[in-house]
Amino acid sequence: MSTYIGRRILQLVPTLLGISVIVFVLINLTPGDPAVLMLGEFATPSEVERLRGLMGLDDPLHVRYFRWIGGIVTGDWGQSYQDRRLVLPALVSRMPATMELVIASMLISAGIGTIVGVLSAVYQDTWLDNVVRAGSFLGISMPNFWVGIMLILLLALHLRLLPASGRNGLANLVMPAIALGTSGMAVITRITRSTMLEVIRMDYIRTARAKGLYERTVIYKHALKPALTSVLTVIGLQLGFRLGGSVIIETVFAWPGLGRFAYLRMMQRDYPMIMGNLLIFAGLFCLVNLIVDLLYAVVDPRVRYS
Amino acid sequence: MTRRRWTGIVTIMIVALFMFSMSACAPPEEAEPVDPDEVEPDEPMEVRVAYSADATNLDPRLATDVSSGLVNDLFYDGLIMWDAALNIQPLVAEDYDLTEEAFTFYLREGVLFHDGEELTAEDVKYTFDTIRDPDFEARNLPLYEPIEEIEIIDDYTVRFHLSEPNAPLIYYMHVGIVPRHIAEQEGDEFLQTNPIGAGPFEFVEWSPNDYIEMVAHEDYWGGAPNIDRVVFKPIPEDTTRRVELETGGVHIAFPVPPEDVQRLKDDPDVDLQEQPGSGFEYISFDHTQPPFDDRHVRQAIAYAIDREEIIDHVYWGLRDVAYSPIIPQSWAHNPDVPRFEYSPEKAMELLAEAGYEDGFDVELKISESDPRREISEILQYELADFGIDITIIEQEWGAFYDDILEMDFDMFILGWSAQTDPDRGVYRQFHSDNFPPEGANRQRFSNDRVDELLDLARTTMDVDQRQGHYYEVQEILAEEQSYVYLNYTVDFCAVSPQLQDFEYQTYFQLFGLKDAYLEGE
Repeated sequence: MSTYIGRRILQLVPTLLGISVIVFVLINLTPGDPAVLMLGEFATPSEVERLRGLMGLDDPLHVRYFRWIGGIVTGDWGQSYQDRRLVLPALVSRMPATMELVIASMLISAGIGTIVGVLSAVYQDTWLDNVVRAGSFLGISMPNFWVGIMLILLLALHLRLLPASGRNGLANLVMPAIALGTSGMAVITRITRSTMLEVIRMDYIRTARAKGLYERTVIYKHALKPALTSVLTVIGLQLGFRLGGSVIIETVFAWPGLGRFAYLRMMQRDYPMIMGNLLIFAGLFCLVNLIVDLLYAVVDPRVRYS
Repeated sequence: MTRRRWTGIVTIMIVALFMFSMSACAPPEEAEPVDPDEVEPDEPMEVRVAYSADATNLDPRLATDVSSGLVNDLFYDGLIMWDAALNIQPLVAEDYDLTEEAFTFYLREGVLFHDGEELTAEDVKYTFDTIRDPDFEARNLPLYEPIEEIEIIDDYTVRFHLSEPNAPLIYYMHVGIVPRHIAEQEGDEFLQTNPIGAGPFEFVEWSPNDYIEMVAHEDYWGGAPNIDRVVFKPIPEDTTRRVELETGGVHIAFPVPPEDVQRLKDDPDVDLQEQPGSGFEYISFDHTQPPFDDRHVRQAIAYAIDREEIIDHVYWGLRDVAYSPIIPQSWAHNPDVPRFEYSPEKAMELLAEAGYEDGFDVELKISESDPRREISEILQYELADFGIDITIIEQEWGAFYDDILEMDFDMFILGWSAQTDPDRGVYRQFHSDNFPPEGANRQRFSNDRVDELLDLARTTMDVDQRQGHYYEVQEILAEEQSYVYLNYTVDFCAVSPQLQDFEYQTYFQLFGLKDAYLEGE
């Protein structure tokens, strides 16, 4: 087991290295000279050249990449072009806010999505199933920023139940977590429903019922566990969407996390911050997918790691 | 490994992840919205401000963005400031003499920094010397190049010797004065995140992207502010900002987008304040290539565009049509220049005169922006009547700016903002010495008389004479239609009626907080 975990963690290294190359090349090939954009309207060509030299932008791309990745490995993630802050502490200080939001949204979408999906499958073709199917279709169709703004207008402005923005406690977390989790909840509902429908038609379920087991035992003990394997896969993949979605949702709710920070720094062409930010997103994505892989063994006893 | 142990490992990993996320969740101290009836007399008076973007740098010598500027205005006082009509007003300098050779400032006595040290001529000299030092990398360094030397006459008198006469320089003397002793003890970088100035509010804490907190400077030379504490909250989304104001989460919210103006005007619980903006929006042309090298074509475009309609459709009728590069509230604005009001007949005549009666094909470049996209589509529709076929190219800002600097355009739409002395905008945009990449004359406009007048206006100290020069420049620019001006900007700020004696300003936007108070507290 520990060998397996160790091997999986080792496998992350080439994956992250590959991601780092893509991130670096894409960001550095973006049109617009960061030195020109930083210096603004009064910059003379000589000042731009000087700043480019100071920022190391005159070196070939591969030299800059190796310098950057060398710094990443040794803990020196560089300095912001914009305000000269150190990249790593700036990103780490924003990570808890994003993690809090992403985890809360995952709990909402996975919790509600799984339960509703199971109910929808068990009560197939009833009014409940129809409502769930229509609701999940709606959930997938609504852009998360729109859900966020609607929640603000309803719960903050009209009902005055929750604060509209900021991060000052649990009340502030409710709306952004729902907004970020809505589409994921809809996806998980649909996957759970369809997987459950497949499983409950299997012979062993018929056997379980024939043995006279309670329906609840049949569904939750014998049908749900195998169905959860594919649901887990979706939950893992959903995390990537959540991190991407956090860019918009954190901006809408003025949530001080990595997503909003990424948006702001992209607008400012702050390359070191953007690259660090994307690398952290990629790392988190890989880590959560590792956890999901390990969870397979929990929900499905047939899975063995060696 | 057993399944139970397995489950335990996975659970621990998930819990660890969650604990990590919650570990730094200590929320900033923030009071709930204040109900005036429930306020105890000794409760601190806290004003919360929602603005669109966080500050980037709290050192006024380095900050150039609007958000940093308006926060720094409260931390640091400069030598001078200016009013809405751009007339210079004294601040730390109670008086000044301006000559062609030197600017002399007489400082107030007893102006204290937040740490209790007195502000003297040494601090003024240090502030401007660092800006002028290329190694300090101040972006506005070129503005201060006419300063040859800064001389300390005594503790309260400082003289800026000029290498050449430069009238607009007085407008660049508003930079907040930093304490030399702090910069030397702690290093210049310290002030970028730990501002210490002589302004009406003292710095407490900055949690980037979350909040900036400040408290009243009890020893402020102009009298301690009534408000005890101010918290700035960056909220980029317009709707969220508006809802925060409407639900009492903040007392000030700006900017207000045009689509929210009417709703907030109608709301009795909101005091919507309006100020003329500091900029304008325009269409620029490549003056070096046909068809826009011919001024008749540029004039025809001006006649062919219904600018009132653009303002009604894109800006909800809230802006005024522009006809000059100098904003109307400025002392240098000439209200009597030719305005080229909408006239399709005249447009057709001019196009025929220029030999383009069948029209032509052009590209119109814009950066990503909803209003600019809408304006472009209206232009495309209106100019099609004249056979002018516009291809709209919308680009990400960096790519757009690159193309503009490299002169890869036929036409583009852009704005010019933060106008103070007319020299700063007009000289850079219309003097033939200012072609890119050094200058902002991106259309390559060249007119000997305009160059001469702009040079004179820069070096003449007499305001009336300068006004005369700028009046003539505006007449020539209107006749040439070097730009087709679209509209003058306007600023809106939504304020809670609880906040009394506060007036939002075009410049030094929130400086009025020093005199404001919360009703019922």
